[in-house]
Amino acid sequence: MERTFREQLFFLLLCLSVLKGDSRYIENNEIAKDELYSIFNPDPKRDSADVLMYRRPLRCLDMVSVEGQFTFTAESPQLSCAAFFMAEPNEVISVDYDQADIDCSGGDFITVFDGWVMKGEKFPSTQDHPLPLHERYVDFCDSGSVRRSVRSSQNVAMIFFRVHSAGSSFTVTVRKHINPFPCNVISQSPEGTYTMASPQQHRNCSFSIIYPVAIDISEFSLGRHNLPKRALPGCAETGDYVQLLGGNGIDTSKLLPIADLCISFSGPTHMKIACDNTVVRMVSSGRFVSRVSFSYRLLDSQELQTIKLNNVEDFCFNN
Amino acid sequence: MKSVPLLLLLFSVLLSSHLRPAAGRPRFLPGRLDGSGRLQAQQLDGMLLKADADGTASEFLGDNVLRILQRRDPDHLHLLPEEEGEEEALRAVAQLLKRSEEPPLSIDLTFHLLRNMIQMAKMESQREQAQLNRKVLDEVGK
Repeated sequence: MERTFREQLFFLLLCLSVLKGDSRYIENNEIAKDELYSIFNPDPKRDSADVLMYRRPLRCLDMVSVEGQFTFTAESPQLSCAAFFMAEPNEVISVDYDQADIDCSGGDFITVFDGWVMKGEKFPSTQDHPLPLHERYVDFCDSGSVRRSVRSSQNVAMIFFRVHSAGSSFTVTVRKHINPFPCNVISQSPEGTYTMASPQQHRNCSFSIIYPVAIDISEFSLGRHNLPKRALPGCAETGDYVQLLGGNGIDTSKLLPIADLCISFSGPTHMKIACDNTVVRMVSSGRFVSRVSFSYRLLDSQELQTIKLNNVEDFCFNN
Repeated sequence: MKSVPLLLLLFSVLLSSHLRPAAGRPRFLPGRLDGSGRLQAQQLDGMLLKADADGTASEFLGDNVLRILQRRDPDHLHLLPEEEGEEEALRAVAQLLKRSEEPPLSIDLTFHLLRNMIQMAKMESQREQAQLNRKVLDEVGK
């Protein structure tokens, strides 16, 4: 009887860990992140998660790419503040309000935006983001106690905040979570490699590199419709394709197309794009599983100069 | 057989202790429209979005919103007395309009400044990772 009970208990534990979905992280080295395992931990309990939590004050204009707890305290009225959050391409960000001592009725607000906004332009663009625009803004004053945690859909998020009186403060905890199917990404660095895959969904995904770069597209496998050989369609009719875009803003729908790639070349495709923002965008019909791999590196000043002199159309060199 | 109900109890206790509130969308507008007012809430959302996209004046928006509120069955505001409920809803709508009149949230940053900020954030992240590694190795070494 006892043996059967033990077997049942083990089966229960197995079901529980599967349901929680964290079974593949059992062996990670982060200390004391799981309350469940601490119940069975014979060692004396220590609040080591608290000890290891990174804390620092949040500035009125800030960029955060590390997990931790950030507190903003106003020493004087601050009417236009923003903090950008950034994670690895395969991560999403969650912002939790720990405490907020602000005067909502007096015009103070803290708003989390699912993406980045710069000069009125949004990344991801309204066409590429799964949520409608008004749902991407989550105002603490509107949702209050109902909505304490906001999770982004991609590796970037930001908060806007305004406080009118000195002494007002709030604390947010920023965490990163693994995203098994990243779609829209802003690259943290001007160099790297990346493989973008569309898992047979009708959504367009963008990889944004906010630097002038030289791109090498080493491999793509794109789904294609079966079309009669006589037809000479543009890329849009052939199936999934890859767009190279460039420009001076972060909204991918406002960038200029540099190239559409849909026919495999022998050998890599190499391009130098001297724009402030270079985007590789996969346009996916949802019927195929397509994949593109590319690498990129920063253009040096010599190359930039050469491109500027050689180009007739210098749409990336205005301003 | 005694163990089965005990097992079920243990199962439900452990499972409920791990439930996290889902990061869903706010169900209610600030006016606390209840579930039956959801259609109106969606219409309101749609109109606000249009106003945001067009940049049209808020008078048009205000008229439509008031018309929707007048069309609503007053029985839906069963939590408050009828007159107070309508006033409350109108005040909430006015607050919404006030917010929609404010310029959309944005920040003017150059790419140069953004890149510098990213660089500083990356350095901070590396410093913090080094600290964390040091702490973990100290713990392991004890």
